[in-house]
Amino acid sequence: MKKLYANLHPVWALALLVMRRQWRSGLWLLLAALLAAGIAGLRLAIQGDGTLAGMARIWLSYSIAWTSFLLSAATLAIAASSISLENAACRLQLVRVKPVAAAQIWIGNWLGLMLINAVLLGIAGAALGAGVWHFNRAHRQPASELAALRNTLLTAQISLPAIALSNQPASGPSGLTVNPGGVGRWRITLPDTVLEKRPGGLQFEFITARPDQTAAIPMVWTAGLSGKRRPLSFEVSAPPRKPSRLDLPADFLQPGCTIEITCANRHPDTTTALLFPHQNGVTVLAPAGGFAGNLLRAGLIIFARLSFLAALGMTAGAAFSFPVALLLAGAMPLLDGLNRFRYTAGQHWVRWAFQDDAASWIARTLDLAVAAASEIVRLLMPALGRFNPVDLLTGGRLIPWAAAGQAGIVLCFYAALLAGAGAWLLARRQLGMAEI
Amino acid sequence: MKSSRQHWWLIPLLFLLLAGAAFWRARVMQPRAARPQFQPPPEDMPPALIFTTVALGGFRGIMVDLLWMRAIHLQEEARVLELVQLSDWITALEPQFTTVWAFHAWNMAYNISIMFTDPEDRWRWVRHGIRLLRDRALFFNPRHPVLLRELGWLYQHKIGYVMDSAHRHYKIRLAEEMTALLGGAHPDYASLADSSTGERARSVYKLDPAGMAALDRDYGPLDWRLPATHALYWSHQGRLADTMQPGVRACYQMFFQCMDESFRHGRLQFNPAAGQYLATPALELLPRAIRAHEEAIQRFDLPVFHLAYANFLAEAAVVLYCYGELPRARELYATLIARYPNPQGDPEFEAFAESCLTGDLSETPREDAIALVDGFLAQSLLREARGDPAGAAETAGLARKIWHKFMQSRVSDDHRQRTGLPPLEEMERAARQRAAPASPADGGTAADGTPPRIL
Repeated sequence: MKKLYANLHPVWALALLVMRRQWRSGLWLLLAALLAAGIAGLRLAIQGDGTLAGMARIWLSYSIAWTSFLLSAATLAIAASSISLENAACRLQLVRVKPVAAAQIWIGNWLGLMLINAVLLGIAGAALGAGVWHFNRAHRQPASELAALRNTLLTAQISLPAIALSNQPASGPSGLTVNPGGVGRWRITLPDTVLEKRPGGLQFEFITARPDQTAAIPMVWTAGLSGKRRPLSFEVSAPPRKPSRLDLPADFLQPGCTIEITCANRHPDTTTALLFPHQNGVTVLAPAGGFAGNLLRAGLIIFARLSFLAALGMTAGAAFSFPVALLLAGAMPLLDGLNRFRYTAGQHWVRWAFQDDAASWIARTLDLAVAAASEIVRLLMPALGRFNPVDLLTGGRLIPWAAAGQAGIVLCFYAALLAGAGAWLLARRQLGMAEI
Repeated sequence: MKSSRQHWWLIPLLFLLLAGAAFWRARVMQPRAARPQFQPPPEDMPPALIFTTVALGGFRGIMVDLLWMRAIHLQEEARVLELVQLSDWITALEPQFTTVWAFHAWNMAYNISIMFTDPEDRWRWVRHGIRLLRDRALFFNPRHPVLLRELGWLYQHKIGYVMDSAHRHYKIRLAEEMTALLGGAHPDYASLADSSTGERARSVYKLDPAGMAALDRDYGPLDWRLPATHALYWSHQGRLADTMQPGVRACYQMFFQCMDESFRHGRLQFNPAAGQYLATPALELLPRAIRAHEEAIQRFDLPVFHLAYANFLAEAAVVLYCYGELPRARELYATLIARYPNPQGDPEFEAFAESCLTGDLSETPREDAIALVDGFLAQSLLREARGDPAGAAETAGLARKIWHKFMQSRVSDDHRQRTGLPPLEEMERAARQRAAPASPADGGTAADGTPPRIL
């Protein structure tokens, strides 16, 4: 224990040193002011879709994006500069001559930065929570608007795929086909974690045999608890290839209940069959949590991302001098983001630019080079786009603890690898010489 | 290291380059301004927009691309809440790119609205499309015929036509808004310009009271609760532009189409409390509709305009026949065969009208079917008033026959809901309301300023 304390003592001391330095520089205040100004300014600047719930969701989405962007950029900049600038200003030598290991210096700086991030993220989270509370207290809004806000944003729902009944002759491996005049059937048993007396939803998505079909298809949906009551009925027209949603009332969904769902295809054209995919053809959106818990888990995911970015910046700073370190640290997340489009581009990254001469050796070589760089980035980076809680949070979907935990484990694993690399580089780095 | 004083020459060079750029800009702008398509940006552009476009410089294109990508991505996933905001930003970054305005307005009014099952949700998105064009696009591109035509199209087709299953809801909401604004079908044009109503019409709906009065004087009386009237207003603004500008021809075409529509549907009986929304022909608009066709043909002598005119004359003759206005119907038919004779020979008017009424009604537009049924109902009341009960019963029977035949040709519930006729009892009641002197007991808004009359 004493040994652990002895090892941790310089780490904490360095972390507090970093925090004190940032406090004195006024950076905390500047970032906190920018966060508050952005969150409040967005409330005034953005246009909603005309509904209270829509406005709240857009504001929340943009505010989280702004918070995430600002803290990420600041984290990268501070992390990339912390070691490299200390080295350039010959302050690092003062620490290195003390009995403090390079790993302790690296971790101390990283910890100090993450403590700053935790405080700023806490401030942003409080501002976001207060903003949503303010939306929820909008007394001048009609009750239906407030109810829509509570049902969509303030209730975290889980999406549960309904199972197409196997005795349907038209049920195939790709999904359930419902012919004109026919009826498709699904069944689902809700888990016990579903909250009672909260409204839910029935979401469906289908395709038709005709790709040019864009007009809405008339259909009748029913949803009923097996053998208990008259089913709910919805006569709707819904377009293909787009998710459509039907609202289920608060007294309908119960934990552990089994729901029977049917869909009657009322299209007059006898060739317009509807295909509901197994995976997302028909899903029940059941309430399983509240907004506060969702916001907390979203904050943890963002914090995990920041911890990785801090580690990236620190390691870059340990390897290179300031501007190079910042450029490298900034380029990696950017390339990681661009990597998401690698399959969209058909892996022909450069060839399209050559137009008439797409088969030239220059084009092919450049394509190979870019593809190789893309692959390297893919291996080095943890695909940060996977850990984005904004869509789930603003869409009123439950962010499970498992998702937050997964983000923490994956990103901390990458951060630990970077920590090892950073400490190794720092230990071997030639310290800067003071200019006289 | 060189002293910074050694780079003093960079400062005059900078000023020289700036002066050169200013001189060059004037030379570039001069030929552009001479082109008829060129619209100078408005003087009172919002400072935030000027700052954004200037500050972004060459990165404006990249920013627009990113916003487009996000908009398309969100729409593919049916996450459309943000699209109003994104459309606003994209169009603000490309304010004089009319295709972009038109696309986003159309996207919101057509593609996004049908993603919702609730008619009120759909109406909200249709309004977003209208507002984008009316309040923003036409601010940055005043009197641009393409944008005026697109705006008119949303009224003419999205609200006025029957493609959307919620079209009746849109029509009712528009009629409610206009009733709240103008107090009824026809405002008092003499006092409108100086009243608070006129100010609200100008500021909220961008309707110029003087323009409304002029349109009503030349082509009215028009009912502002009807979508066709709004389409007329906006397409008429486009007609006032230079003929050479793109979009003017389409504005002329839309204008005569909407005059045809006003003739077929220009008289509205609207009582939201009783759920009544019935638009029937306004026969008095026939000369104005003919004038709109003649003007379009005079300006653009196109075969398609002649064809549309011939079809309208034939259709109007049948409608007049149904309303019992035989002399006018025959006169119109004579005009038709004189101007556009059939090489195979034209039938007599009565034979032509009978063939139209006894043929297949499945392809007959809903508006025409309403006109036919309402015409015979009105004729029946006229005969009843003249003391001809047998004739009245005969024409009423014809109205019922057409109603049933048309409704039987609707193949599904959705088809019936979208394109079906109002209940026959409602149509009979509405015809009686029009025939009788209007009174508050009628419950409807038949007291629209027109004198009591049969028809």
